[in-house]
Parts: sequence; C-alpha cells; structure tokens
Amino acid sequence: MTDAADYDAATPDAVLLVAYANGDRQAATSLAARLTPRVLGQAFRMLRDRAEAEDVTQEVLLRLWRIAPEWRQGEAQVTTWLYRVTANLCTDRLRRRKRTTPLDGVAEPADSAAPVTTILQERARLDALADALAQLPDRQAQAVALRHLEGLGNPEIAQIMDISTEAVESLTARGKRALAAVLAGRKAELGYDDD
Amino acid sequence: MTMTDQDLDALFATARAAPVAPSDALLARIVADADAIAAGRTMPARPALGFWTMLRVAIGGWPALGGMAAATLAGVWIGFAPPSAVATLATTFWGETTTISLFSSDDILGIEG
Repeated sequence: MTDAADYDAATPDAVLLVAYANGDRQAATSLAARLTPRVLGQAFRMLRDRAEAEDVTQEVLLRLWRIAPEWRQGEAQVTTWLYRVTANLCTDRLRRRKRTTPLDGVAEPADSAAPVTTILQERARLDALADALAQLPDRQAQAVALRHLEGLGNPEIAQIMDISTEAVESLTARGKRALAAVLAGRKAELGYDDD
Repeated sequence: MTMTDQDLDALFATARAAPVAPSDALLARIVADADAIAAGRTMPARPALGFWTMLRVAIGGWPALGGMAAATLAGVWIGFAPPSAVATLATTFWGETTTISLFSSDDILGIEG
C-alpha cells in the first residue's frame, strides 16, 4: 500500500473507499478515523457492552475493507451500508444473549432499597434498555434502535432495512410498545417511581 | 404499572447523549486489518509454471537460453560445412580417414554364382 495525499472532511466516504481499494493507505486511515466512532456508538448503544461493541465494530470495518474493490460509487451510501451491517451483527449478538440470559436472570441490584447515585441509576436504566431490546424480534429491535437510539428518520431507516416507510412506522410502533411492556416489570427497580 | 412514552423517550435521549469514543488500540486494529486485506490483494497466488517456463527459469532466463541456441546453431553449421582450419585440426587429431570392411571381398559362399 502507498501513502497518498491527506483527505479533508469534505471527501465522500465512497471516494476514500475506492482510493483504499486502489492501494491508498492514507484513505483507509482516514476512513477508519471517520467511521469507527459512528459504528462503535451504534453498536454500544444497542449492546451496552464495550468489548462486544468493539468486536462488532472491528468486524463491520473488516467487511468494509473486503468489499472495497466491488464498491460502486453512487449505488449506496457507505453510511447506509454500515448502519445495516452493524444493526444485523448487533441483533445477532442480542439474540444469543436472549438465549443465554433470560430476562429473569439479569443481575439486579443486591439491595433494591439501597440508594443509588444518578450515574449508577442511569447506567442501570440503559443496561435494562439493551436487555429489553434483546427480547424483541430482530426487525423490531433494529427499527427501534435506528429510530430512537440513532435518531434517524423513517425514510433513511427504510433504505437501511430495505423496506417501506410504512413498514418502518409499524415496526417502530410495535417495538416501542413491546419495550415499554418489558421495562414495565422493572420500573421500580430502575427508580422510575421516584421521578 | 406501565412505562410511559415520556419515560421511554427520556431513556432514548440519555442513550443517545452518552459519548462513545474508540480507543487508540481499536483504531490500530482496524487499520491493521485494512493493511492486511490490501496486502493480500496485491499478492495474488502464483500461477503454476509450464514446462518451458520452468526450463527457462532453471537455465537462467532468456539471455542464457539465447546463448545456448546460438552455440547449438554454430555446432550444426560447423558439422555441415567445417571451415578448413577445423578440418585440418580434425585430421591432425584423429589421423587420416581409413575404411575397414568386416567382410571379405571374395565370394566364399558362392552366392554371386
């Protein structure tokens, strides 16, 4: 690989990817710096496990490096592809977690009467959200995560999941109701009665 | 006891706000992956060599093969039309050419009638 010119933030991801496929090492470094935080953030918000999120991130980027020579500029956005692959890998992990860790088995505070700091409570709530996400069907979990954890709009989610916007609306609505139902059982434990 | 939409939306907002920064080690692993994939791409598997290619490589490439061809042609040419110096040298070395017959010239078996 060769080192080539530095790339600025305005250079599209797809251009960097093609440059990397043509042997430009600097393009890979720039892409990694630009995309890794985004993929890691998405993975961590879904999984709430740093090590697992890092594994997923590395795997997603590895797949990106592999498909670089076949990438057709203009056909798809790199970010759309990343959201899709990351969401799929995360739901794979959540599914395994669901099989190995039933919700009843999720660790609870040793003493629910003990006061917890705001930080600990926030962490417990976010962990509970990930556990609840694992109880949802894959497509619902993906749609809810993309809509509410990534803050994407329905048309973009439709593109990522390759479905209609109506289907996205339906999935997110059902997913959100299912999440609320799962979390309702842990409301007191998570300190919502105190709010 | 239900979880309100407000509760859920607040939870989502908290999740979105939490910063997640990659470590240097993760970035290094990802760039190393990119390098490894690119290196694999620039070194395709070596194709199997054919007989003539192997012979050429074993002898020492095209220059050596060219020298061998020239020497062979020169040998053939000298065999057909030896220059006088070569003919003299051969006579000096091997002596005069003599023909020896293994059979008697007499018709001892009476075959010729």
